[in-house]
Amino acid sequence: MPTPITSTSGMRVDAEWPAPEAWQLWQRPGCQPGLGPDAARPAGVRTVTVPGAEDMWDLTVANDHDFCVVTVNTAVLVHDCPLTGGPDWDPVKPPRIQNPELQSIADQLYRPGASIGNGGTGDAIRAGFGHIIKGSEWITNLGSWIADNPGASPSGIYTTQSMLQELISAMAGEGYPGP
Amino acid sequence: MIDEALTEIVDVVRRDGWSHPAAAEETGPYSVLASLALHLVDLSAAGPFALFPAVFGALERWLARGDAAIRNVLIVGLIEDLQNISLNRGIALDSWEEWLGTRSRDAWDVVMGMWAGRVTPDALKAYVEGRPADAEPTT
Repeated sequence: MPTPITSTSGMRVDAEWPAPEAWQLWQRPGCQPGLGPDAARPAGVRTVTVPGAEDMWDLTVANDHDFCVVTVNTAVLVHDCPLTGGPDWDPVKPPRIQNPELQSIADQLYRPGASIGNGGTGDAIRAGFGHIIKGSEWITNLGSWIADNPGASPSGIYTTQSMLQELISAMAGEGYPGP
Repeated sequence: MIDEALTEIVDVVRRDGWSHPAAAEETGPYSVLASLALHLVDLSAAGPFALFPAVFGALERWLARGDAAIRNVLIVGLIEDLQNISLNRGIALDSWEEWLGTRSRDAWDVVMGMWAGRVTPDALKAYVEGRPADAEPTT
């Protein structure tokens, strides 16, 4: 029996989604059973925080990025994307963020004009300059910020997730992000 | 020992009425010093500057007598954050020079050199540990 899907970690959550092609997919017969073109436009994207530790998987498929997943009770329109991204995120530059509090965090974590990666603490870790304890403290801080600010804008949350993910991947020994 | 260094540096600013977010203290020393760096950069725009000599005096003392862990949190934490925040806010790094002592100026230059590609990871580690760059690293 399929399991209802309510959210996917790293799902793109910004104002531009659902994109037109995703909307067309949503209206296709069989996606919203029995509704077809009259299906209501998806009202928004819900982010769910589930306490505890479980193995989680992102949905990542080459070429096609929008999917209509039909479950027992409903149909869910999902979109796969890289975990980092969003309107304020450029993997090769320090982020510029509309939220002043988040920008203050980015001001501490990223150095403009640096010759090491994107100037971030994550890239200092990757390049072998230590910063391990600093990075681990910021992983905690950024995670707390997301938990403490459920009403933050989707782009703010997404950028915070991107900064967090960059640090996590650096601590895990993964390479430079982006192209 | 880190607590002792942190207390001396942060207490200077606390006495001036500043308090860092409680969450930062729970998270760790880098978070406390990141909050302090933000506060100092804010003050650097218009003052008052009365507490700067005491803060940078404490920084100088702990760079001299601190172990590698303390020097790391001061160099990779406080000094790097002061530079990063300043650069992101259009504040010239040389505006801090009048507050730097001999050791903090050295550390300041090492952090700048690291991000400019002039200081290698091994050289940074050796500097933080207070040993010559070509000496064997401590484990």
